[in-house]
Amino acid sequence: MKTELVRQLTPEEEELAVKREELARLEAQLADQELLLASLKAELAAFEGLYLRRVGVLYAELDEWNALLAELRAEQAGTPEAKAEADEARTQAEEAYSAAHGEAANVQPFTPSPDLKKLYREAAKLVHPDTATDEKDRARRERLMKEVNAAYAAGDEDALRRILADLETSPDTVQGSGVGADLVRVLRQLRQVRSRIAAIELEVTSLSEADLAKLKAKADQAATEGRDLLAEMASSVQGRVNVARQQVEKKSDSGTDK
Amino acid sequence: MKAPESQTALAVAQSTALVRKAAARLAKRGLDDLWMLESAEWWFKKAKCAKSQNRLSEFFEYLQRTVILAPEHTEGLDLLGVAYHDGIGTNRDQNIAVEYFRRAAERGYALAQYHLALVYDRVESSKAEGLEWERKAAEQGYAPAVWRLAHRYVWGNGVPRSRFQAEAWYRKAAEKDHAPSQFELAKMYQNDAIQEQGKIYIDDPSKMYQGTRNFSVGVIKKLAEAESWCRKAANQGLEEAKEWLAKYYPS
Repeated sequence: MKTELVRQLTPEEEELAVKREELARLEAQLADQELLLASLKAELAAFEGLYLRRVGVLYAELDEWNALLAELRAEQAGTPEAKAEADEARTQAEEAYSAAHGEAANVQPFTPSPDLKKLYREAAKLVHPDTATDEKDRARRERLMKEVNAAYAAGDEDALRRILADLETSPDTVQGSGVGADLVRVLRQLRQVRSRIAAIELEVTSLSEADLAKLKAKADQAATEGRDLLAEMASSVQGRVNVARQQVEKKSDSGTDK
Repeated sequence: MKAPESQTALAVAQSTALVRKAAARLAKRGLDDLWMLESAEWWFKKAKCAKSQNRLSEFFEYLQRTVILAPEHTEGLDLLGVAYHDGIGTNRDQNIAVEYFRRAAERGYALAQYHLALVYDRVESSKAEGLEWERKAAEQGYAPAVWRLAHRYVWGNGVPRSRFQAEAWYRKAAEKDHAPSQFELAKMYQNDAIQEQGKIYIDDPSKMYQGTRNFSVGVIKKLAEAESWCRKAANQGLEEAKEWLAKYYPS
């Protein structure tokens, strides 16, 4: 007859097991939240790109015509007020141009595949900086998390796979010595993960309250009604561009006549 | 040694932040304009509803609210022009009507360009300007404007006569399902066929007694095209086209 020897767990070990389980659950939740945040950011960036390409460029053109008009007026009037107005219009035109033709305008539509989302969740769980055990580890994880986020935003599945493969081959961080130390570490990790989850919730709220998100919500709503909101906005701004252009043409004609 | 590098990095970061700010401002601007557009649209819908229920002074008031909120509301501007032009809910005033038509027309609204063209065409001194607006509306494919322009080329009214231009413009409107243009095109092609066949008879009168067997390929093609346009116009309920179809192309 065989007797199995089951070692009785100490209270600390039991507590550690419970906390580790809780940590694992929270880490999964955190990965989901990170995915939500990263998706929201990528969708907003993609929408911003679309908005800048379709409507932003027209605002930039409108400002350019308005600046030209103000400059023509300043030239003809010659007063300091007119000059100041022209300078202000020129600044605004340059600003609008920089935004409408900047990097943000190049962001392409974001359509993550289920695979990409799965890879992101896995990678986020593995590298998350808030599960770091010491400062050095934390810095490394923060760097990796940035890479993971960038790969996700770019829809780059291969990059995510590479990061995951590297992680799996790198040696696990050495576990501390003794149950007491482990328990302290797990408790600390728990606190970090909880505060990160709260921070993400805050960030998601503030992102969805931004003007861009409001605009996107309106565009999405319009799309369900079969309307193209950006096209409607573009045609309205285009009308103003046409008028401003005609004004400039009239003004510069009357200028040369004199 | 590192200083210049970090300075450029700082400059890049600063300019990126400026661009981000500018982009955020563009988003805010869009949202604000959108809010105005939506409120304007709400009043515009109310205006159309009032019109359909024959509450004309309300119709006029709501239209005014529409264009005050959104000076770019081309449909509203045009309709306000119509209200002043025809005296709907307000007194007639041709000058104000023209002003509203012009505002919508300058913003590229084809219907207003056409309305402006019609008003200008009535006065001798502004006929040339009217033609310009008519052409703009036609170039946007607004069928009635295309039709009028094609007519001008047929009769040489304000433009040099041009069979080529007339056909091209009629075709443009016909392809947009404008029934009168489809019928004009049909008549045009049928005339061509008759003339071409006439030339053949002059060269060889004996062919006149051979029925349709001696029709050339070109003539048959022209007739087929004429029939197809005529049928399209008839299918849209154009009486003349129906009669024409029954008379010349009985099936």
